[in-house]
Amino acid sequence: MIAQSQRLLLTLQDVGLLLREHKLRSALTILGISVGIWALVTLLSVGLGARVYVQGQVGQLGSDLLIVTPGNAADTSTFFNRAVQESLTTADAQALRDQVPEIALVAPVYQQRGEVNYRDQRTAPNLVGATPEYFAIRDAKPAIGRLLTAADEQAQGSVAVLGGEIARHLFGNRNPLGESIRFRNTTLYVVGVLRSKGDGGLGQGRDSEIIVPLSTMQHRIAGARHVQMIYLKPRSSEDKDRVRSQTELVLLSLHTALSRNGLPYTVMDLGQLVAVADNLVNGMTAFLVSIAAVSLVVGGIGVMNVMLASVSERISEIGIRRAVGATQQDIETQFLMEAGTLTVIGGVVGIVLAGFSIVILNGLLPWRAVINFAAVAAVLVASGAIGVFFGFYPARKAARLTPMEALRYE
Amino acid sequence: MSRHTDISPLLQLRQVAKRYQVGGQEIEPLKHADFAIIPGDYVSIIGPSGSGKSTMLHILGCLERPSSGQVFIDGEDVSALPDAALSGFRSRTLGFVFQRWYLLERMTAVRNVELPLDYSPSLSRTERRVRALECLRLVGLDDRAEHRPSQLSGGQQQRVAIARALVNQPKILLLDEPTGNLDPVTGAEIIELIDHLRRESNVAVVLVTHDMQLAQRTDRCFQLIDGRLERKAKDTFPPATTERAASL
Repeated sequence: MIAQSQRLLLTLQDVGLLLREHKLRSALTILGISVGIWALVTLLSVGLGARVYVQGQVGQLGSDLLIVTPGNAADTSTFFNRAVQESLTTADAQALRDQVPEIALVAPVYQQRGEVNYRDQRTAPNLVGATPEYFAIRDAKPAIGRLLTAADEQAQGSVAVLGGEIARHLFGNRNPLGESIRFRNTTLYVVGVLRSKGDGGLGQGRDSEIIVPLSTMQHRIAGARHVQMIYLKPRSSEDKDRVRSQTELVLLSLHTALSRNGLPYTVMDLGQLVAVADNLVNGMTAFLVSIAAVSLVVGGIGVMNVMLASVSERISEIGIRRAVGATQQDIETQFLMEAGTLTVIGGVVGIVLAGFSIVILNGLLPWRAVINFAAVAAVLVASGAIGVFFGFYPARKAARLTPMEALRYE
Repeated sequence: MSRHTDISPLLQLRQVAKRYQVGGQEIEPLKHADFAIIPGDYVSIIGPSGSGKSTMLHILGCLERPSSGQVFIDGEDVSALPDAALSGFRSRTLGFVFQRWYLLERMTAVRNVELPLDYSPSLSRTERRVRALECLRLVGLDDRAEHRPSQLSGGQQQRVAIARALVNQPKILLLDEPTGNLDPVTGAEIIELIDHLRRESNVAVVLVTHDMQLAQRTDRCFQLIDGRLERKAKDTFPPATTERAASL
């Protein structure tokens, strides 16, 4: 064991000398591998990040949530039919609450994106008009102040609850409670700030929403009598299918006139949506990673090329090593380690480059690339394996030389 | 090194033949060569270039397998052993000095000398270095240990090559044209060194040369004629030139 590790150390020392002897050639070979590893690690991390993002987006809603939206893929005209698009109302929400006992929470929603300002601070968040149950559905707790109440809803109150990120953006360290913000021509008073859930900066999550009473949204801001969607939370996830079929029945009975060609609404199961999105992201990641793998193979061919050159330059060295006692195995191991060292260095350089590019990409993408340390370790091992794979033929060629062939070589 | 008191051969060739195919033609540099080396032996093999001297040395050194016949080392027939076992014999029993010295330019002199020890893993790092330095001292180059081959003269490189051949404490030292690439003065120094090493260590020396002066120094001299080894009587050597004789 000691002898083995000592031999390994000696070979590594020698590889160090060799790399120094052929600086440019070694550097270019390493570069070839590191480009492949760089692409692989970057794309893998971005892909993993996208998956976490998709899961997170839905996870904060809860995957046993159902969403009713107008329009049905079975009849695409329903998506352009204004009567259908404006047909869902708070009355439907109330009917579902009354008639489907397996439903725990119902939240009709009308939302709009637009500019909000506080003095000279501006931002363009999602302004969500929702009933108080919305907070329960989204599991939202106040950090300071309060949530919206039934009284606010009834009074069409000029009140707003801010997501944590929005509050930080508009108010900095100042206390936002009681301050007024403007959305279009409406003045809203801040009554609460939600506790951050750590999805800040993504521009999509609850942290960057402003929630106002649904009635305020409908009548004072949007001028609408309908809602855009209704969130339904079943009492338990086993009830999900039953809630869905019951919901479809209730809506059918309430909107018979619009339902001549079938129900013009979609009851989406968020869990299923996640599964579909997940598959999509995984497929995309696999595709990108396999492209990166191709560049790695090209780098590997570069390694093979350089190793073949190295073997033919050092034929008399192989001869002398054989003459002083090296076995075929020793020679093969030496060249394999040389190739492996090149590719492992390439791997390390590639991973460092990937680290830099991930930092840059995180500033540009709506999600954060996930650096999976197990994957990084696997990539390092793989880069060594690439060296061994592409070094195998040259090393075998070197080992197969008889001592005499090697020593006679001029 | 050898503690043999009897004269059983260290290395023996029995009816060894070697044939090659060169450009569709078969050549046979060795035909039924018989040969033996005993501990402390000092033997030279002479013959014109192309007569098969080097082939002979390579078969003695287990670098090449005979086409027929047997090679015995310490009484064991090694001609059919697998590669790893042959490599082991080379490492334990034999030291080589080649006409072109084959020093590795990227390594210092002492590291070059250490090279054979890379393949006999029983020694620690320090032991290896001490042994290599000892061998460099033996050839008078301990002050050049950290020099690269290109920083050494031809004679010095040859000395490093000899130190490398000795580092495994071989029983037999095989030298291929040890003075072939050197000027006469340096060549004479190398011959002196070989004599000195024999006295110091009792290592058996087999050298291949066409330098008659060198061959004359050895105890036994063989000539390769038509693929066979013939013992050459000392008085049949041509007379040494006065200048060479003086330098010896």
